[in-house]
Amino acid sequence: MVAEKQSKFKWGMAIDIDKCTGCQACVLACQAENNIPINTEDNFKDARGIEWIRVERYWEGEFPDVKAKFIPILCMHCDNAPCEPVCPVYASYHTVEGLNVQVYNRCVGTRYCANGCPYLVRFFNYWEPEWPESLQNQLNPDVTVRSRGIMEKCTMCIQRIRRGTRKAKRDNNEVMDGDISPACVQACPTEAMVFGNQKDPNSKINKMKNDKRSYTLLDHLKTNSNVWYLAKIDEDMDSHHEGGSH
Amino acid sequence: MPPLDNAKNNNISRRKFLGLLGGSALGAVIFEACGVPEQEYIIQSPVDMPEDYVKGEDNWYATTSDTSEHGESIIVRIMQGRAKKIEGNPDFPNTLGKHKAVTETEIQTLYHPDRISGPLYRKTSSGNHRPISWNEAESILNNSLSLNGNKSIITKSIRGMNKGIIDEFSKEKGLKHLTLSSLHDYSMYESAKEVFGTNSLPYFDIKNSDLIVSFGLDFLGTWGPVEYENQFGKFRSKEHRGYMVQIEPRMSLTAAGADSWLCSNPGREGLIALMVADQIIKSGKGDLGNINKFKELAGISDINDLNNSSANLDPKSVGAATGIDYHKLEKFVEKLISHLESNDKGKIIFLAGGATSGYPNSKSINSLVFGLNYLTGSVNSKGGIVLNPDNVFDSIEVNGVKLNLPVSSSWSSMNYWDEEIQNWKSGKQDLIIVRGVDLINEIPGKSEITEAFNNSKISIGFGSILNDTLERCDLILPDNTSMQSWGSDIPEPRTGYQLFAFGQPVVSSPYTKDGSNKLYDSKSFFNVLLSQMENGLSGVKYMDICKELANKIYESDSYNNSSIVASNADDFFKGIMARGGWWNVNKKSSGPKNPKINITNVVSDVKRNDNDFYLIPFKSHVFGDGNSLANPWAQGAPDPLTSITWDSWVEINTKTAQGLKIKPGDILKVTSNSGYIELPAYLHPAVPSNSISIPIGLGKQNFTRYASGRGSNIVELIDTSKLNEDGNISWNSTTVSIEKTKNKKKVSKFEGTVPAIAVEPGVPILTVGPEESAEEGFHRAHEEHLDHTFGDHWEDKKHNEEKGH
Repeated sequence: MVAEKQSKFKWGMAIDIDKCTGCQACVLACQAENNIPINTEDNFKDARGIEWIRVERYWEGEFPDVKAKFIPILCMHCDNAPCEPVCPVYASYHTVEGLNVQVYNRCVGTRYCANGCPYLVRFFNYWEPEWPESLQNQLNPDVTVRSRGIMEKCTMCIQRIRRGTRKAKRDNNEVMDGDISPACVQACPTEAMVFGNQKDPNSKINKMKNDKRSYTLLDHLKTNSNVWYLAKIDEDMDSHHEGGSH
Repeated sequence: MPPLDNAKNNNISRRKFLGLLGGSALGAVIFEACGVPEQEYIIQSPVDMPEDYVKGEDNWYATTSDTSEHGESIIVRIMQGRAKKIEGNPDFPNTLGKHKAVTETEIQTLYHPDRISGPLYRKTSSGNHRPISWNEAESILNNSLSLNGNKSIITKSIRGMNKGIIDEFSKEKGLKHLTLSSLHDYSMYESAKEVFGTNSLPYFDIKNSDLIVSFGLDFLGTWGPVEYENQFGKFRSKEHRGYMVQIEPRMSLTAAGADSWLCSNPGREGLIALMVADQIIKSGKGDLGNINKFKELAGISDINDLNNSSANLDPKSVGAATGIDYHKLEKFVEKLISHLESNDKGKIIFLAGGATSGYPNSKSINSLVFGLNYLTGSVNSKGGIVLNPDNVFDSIEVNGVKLNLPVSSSWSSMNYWDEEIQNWKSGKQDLIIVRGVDLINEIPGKSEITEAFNNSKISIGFGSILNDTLERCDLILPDNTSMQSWGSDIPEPRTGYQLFAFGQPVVSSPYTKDGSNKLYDSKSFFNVLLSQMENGLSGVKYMDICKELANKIYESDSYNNSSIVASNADDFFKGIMARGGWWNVNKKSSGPKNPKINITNVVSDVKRNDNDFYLIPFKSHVFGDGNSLANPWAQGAPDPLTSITWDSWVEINTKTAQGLKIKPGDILKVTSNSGYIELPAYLHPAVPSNSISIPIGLGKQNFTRYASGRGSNIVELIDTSKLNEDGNISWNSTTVSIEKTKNKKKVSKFEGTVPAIAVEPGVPILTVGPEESAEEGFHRAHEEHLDHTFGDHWEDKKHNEEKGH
């Protein structure tokens, strides 16, 4: 696409699973930043919890040789996003900076996009989110509060990207590597998550995606994901390798 | 408007509509064939997303964190006079821009729908609370402080200026100060101070270490500043990737992140520490000077002098005594010795705490483990234990009153608490002031504590949110959160140099919709105390003391080459507020002062009947000791290992549960000598077959709309007859029996709500060997899957393929 080629940015993320401790800091940071509805007890029981980023935990092996492994999963912002062509009202679209985003006021709630997403990272508001009046004070004014019937998903904190690029423009600076971070990346205590511009050859994300441990999820589907994972390292690999369960 | 008839004629039938649709699709194809410019096909929204617009300016202000026990600094995003987001202070040494999951929830305490809106008072313990004015409330407080009987003030463990003010207040008003913390690490702090000859907890230089051996310290989970997690990330990214071993009876988040988890029977960890010492000495690879130093500090000539058990110290015997496969212990010893031999590898660091602080001999175990750092030369060195220096001052004088600034937390032992509760029961207690602790739920023996608490002539509680203890207070005074108050702390642990954290009010209370009243009419706890004082601190505000402390730092030698350069004291204070504190990286410790490895009883044994289980209580990584559970984010964040939300649970080994015909969600009755509770079962593959684990902090009757009546309180099971060497509760020394009831519930959890995005069937996360690439890892995983699925047939097929058949 011409416009994409002309853009200075193509955003992406890399996650080093070897450093992820499963601490949930990214999950809560995302909820706070993006006005994600409160996940009630019933939401979880009905498998309707909304977490734009989730940390999945898998068990491998049996006691005492059991290991817990964590992987944060968020929207992969695929270049060939299966969620985009199926939307009848173009609510799901691709920005010229490589982000897969959702226009809430276009969404009519067909949920075709969620059915098409192999990563299960789109969330439908089956109910009107409830915010007690006093808690409304904490809502981020940069982010729309979604309503019932709307599909929502990770935007890589587009509001933070806009603030970052605008600030650089105002100050007559270039956006430097590390200037902009989505809330999850900013919070990650171990710095397992890295966000950056793939068009910057010296960016940390480019180094990480070219690391020999780098891979993408469901690569065989050719979705051309923009989130890379660095495989977990097992120093004692030869002694065991068994299947896992979630 | 067209005539109605025309409109009718213009109606499009379904058939006509489909025809037109087909035509337009055909048209689109023809149009495409004519070579339309590429950009015409970019699906661009004519309506920009609201997120595309930047609305107004925001400001970020630094202050201290309420949920941190370690004096962590946060920055708060303020827009339109409201706090919007909390992040770790990127400037501050013990946060480095990072924060824990629970830190985010502080904003929900600030704007909690059930926050106490103003002072409440009841005249009799059976009466109802009624709203009163602050003037009336402070007058009642004043009268209560002038009572002549026993008076006590209870807080969490505190340090620095906060401790100094409480001490001075207590001295003037004749109060006794007690502290309370659930699942405390008291013996770890005390052992570390004694072993390293320092007056505060040392700093653990994890990132520069090459091998971490942690005996129970959950520094990636529930203990420590977030900076330790950040260091762990760096420990993992070094050229020589760091290796970590975690030794404890329950898999904590740190054990989950470790390369090797050695699951020891409770209380037997000391034997492993003895084995380590023995093997290092016997190997001949340890430095003789270090070995002699260790022996000198421990006052022994032979390592067996420390062994109070009959077990030998070879891996095989220790394996048998601890319940660990001895092959694992041999491998662990090999790793240790190879690190001692290697020149290009960094230090080995030995850490203690967490589980090891929960035994009757916790002080001895912790002392020995910390002492091992002398054996490997890891004390006061890069990649090891870095001692903290004295801070700038031990005390400061404000208006002629000396305020102590202790650098380490104060703790009240259970022995001390027992005496106190007896006083309450005897009816001699005139006043109890409580702030920040829910003592009725945190001390074992709820009914006794409640009765004793009610015996006090008057009880006064400070807090933001009602809990079971505050609800029983006669006078309830709404407290500011740290985002509304001036504050200061001396972080513990500090980062190896002189350091102060400072807080400031970053937001005021919002008003009601009609703008007539503040939503929360709260005051700062310390300002209320100061307003009651009659000495030189009378009329002084907490902010004034902060300024005085800053002035004193500015005038001291420590100011030179420190974190803030200013031309005058006012600018220096502003600089402190902007950065969240002050530090001087050049002011380091000169070394241990009178260190001593104080060991009397390294090996203990928690006795257990054959059908009973060891009970291992733990803090959840997400909601800690339970005080954050009033917030829906803390309730709704899945526990990292079980993924459970909004409830408490009992973790039981999967196979053991199956043997007992226990299924997930079955309600189990867990009984100890002290009582029983009922909770749903979670079948957990990483729990030893002889143990069960239960999170602390739930089971509160009155704790807001989000937490009231949720779960069960494990404290009711804790056996207080087994106090440890310091007179504190041995949290991990209770045994229990379990019984399946007829009840069952669907537990609210994240697990199972999404299918795995597997690398291969059964391989959800790609794991590679140290030198392996992702591609090689995929190939291996695929081969393993085929082998696993097709077994010998696959081998035959592969063999044939290789032969070209």
